[in-house]
Amino acid sequence: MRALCWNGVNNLRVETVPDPAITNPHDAILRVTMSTTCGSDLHFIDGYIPSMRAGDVIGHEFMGEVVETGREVKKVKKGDRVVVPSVICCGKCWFCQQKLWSLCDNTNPNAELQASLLGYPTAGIYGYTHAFGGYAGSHAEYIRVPHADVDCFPVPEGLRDEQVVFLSDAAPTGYMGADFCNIHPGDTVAVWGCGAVGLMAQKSAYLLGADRVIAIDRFPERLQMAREKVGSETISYEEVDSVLEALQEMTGGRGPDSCIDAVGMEAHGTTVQYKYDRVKQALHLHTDRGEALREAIMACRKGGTLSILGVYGVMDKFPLGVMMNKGLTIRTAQQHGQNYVPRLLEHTQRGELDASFLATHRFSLEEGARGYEMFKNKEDGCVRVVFTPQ
Amino acid sequence: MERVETVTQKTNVSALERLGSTAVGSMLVLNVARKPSLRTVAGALLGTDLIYRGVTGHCHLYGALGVNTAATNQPGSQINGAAPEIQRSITIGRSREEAYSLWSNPENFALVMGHFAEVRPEGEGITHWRVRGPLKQVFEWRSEQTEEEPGRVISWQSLAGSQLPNRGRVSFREAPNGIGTEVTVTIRFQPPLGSIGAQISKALNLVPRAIAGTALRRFKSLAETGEIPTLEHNPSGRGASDAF
Repeated sequence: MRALCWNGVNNLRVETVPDPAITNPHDAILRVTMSTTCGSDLHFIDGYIPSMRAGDVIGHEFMGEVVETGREVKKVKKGDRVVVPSVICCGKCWFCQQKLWSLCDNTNPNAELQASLLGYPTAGIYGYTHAFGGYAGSHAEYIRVPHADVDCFPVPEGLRDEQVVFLSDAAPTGYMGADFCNIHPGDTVAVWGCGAVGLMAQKSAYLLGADRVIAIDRFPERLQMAREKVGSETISYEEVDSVLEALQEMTGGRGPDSCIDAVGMEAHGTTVQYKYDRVKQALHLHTDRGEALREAIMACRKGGTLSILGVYGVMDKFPLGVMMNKGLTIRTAQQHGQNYVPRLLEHTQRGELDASFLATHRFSLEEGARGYEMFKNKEDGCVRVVFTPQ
Repeated sequence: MERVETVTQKTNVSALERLGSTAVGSMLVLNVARKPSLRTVAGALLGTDLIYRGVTGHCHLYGALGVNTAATNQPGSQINGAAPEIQRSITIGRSREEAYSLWSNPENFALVMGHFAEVRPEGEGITHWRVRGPLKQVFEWRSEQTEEEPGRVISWQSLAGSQLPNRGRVSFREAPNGIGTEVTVTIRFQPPLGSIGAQISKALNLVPRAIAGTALRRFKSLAETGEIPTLEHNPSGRGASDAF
């Protein structure tokens, strides 16, 4: 089959690779109908997170049609049109039973390797480094989905692929970020980042009852999207002297009740600290530029909640004292997608959520490398590229 | 050529150390292909020597120093207090009796150890172990069950003539709040040559620790889900079948 492979830093190529096969009894094979770029892919494309190997098939946000099932698969059937969260979960271990899906104990074949980095291993993720399992990703014609009965969610009739594909990751990640904020009526939620995850976090904050949502970014077209598609108020951090002061002014000096970081380790900024981060990262002295996260910690109201969705490695100059003295609650995780996909499908069916506006560009899989180039450089107002493998 | 044949190629490197040598040596040699530089070339030169001593079991340096870490003929019962101990634990969401009986099933046991060895039951508590190292090295030994407390403990030790003398035990204990069973594996490998050997074995412990940890994780997945996560047939630009 054809698949988009990582061959080194900033080196992607569509290649012919072997087809996947049913390997374990709970596996299904899907024909991928749509698969999308994710900002977290850029971290390994740019070489900031370790344990990629040349030849890895990338991509973790996708949907498809079931073409084959293993002998223990009972619910999912050949021909089903399904969406699959990017985290691979067994559904049986203690963590899955606690609904902490992305902490699943039984789906990472490279658990020992990852435990050496994190202390304990987490769930596997498709196409997302060998520390996260080494599974082949979804930018391919076919993909093997382990524990298919737990991880495949049938798509109701009448929804288009573009409305559904983001329910694999961007939407449930954003929704989880808003869910972490324990939103009460009257709350103001600030969201750093107007990429797909940030926009979905903003939308979810409204769905969960936030009174106001304030979005922070620097790209005019993304800020416009936040205003027009989601209904957020916006701050362009390049146009204000201080995001902290702007947020204080907008909230009567109290600050946002909750702050969501949907940016991660390759943040941009305008401060001296940002330039320092940039140099250190370039010299490989640390992996993270934490500008957005630091700003969110500073801006959050006392006793508020900080919800971290951005992907990070090892950060120094981390303002733990600010967090501690202000009594912030920190919530964070890779997406516990299996919690949220059913209710997001319901929101979509009821017309309360339509994530299809994120798909600004649509390419064939053969144009995968070009698609990522465009996505990375945010050319032509690109928010997400979706690939249609066949 | 003549000169090589006159050298006495006596095995003086222990099996564990040979495995480690070949693995590290291969890594160093592969590195130079990936990124040729003065440093990786120097590494590769060292690597070829490591592979040599790994594959042949003979170390020139040890030969010159009169050191021999190959303790191939010691019976398992001679494993003494100097043997470094590896201990790993995991909690499994099954009852103690279930976990014990799943571990005792030879078919499951062979699956659980599949990442490391081919384990074949020979009956009467004897199992045959066959480990394939890098570059087609093969190490074999037989192990016997030495003590069993049904539902709680299984112990084993390698028989005389083992290439990798070892003994160990696995114990099963109820975890708190009914969340399952704590399974603990303890293994000692015979250190060749007393304290020097013990130091060497300690340095190499990383490998057996990971092997034991992986075995426990594989056992947990098998016990909880009925399958072991795998990268077999995993598509990539490198071809199929893809263990890291």
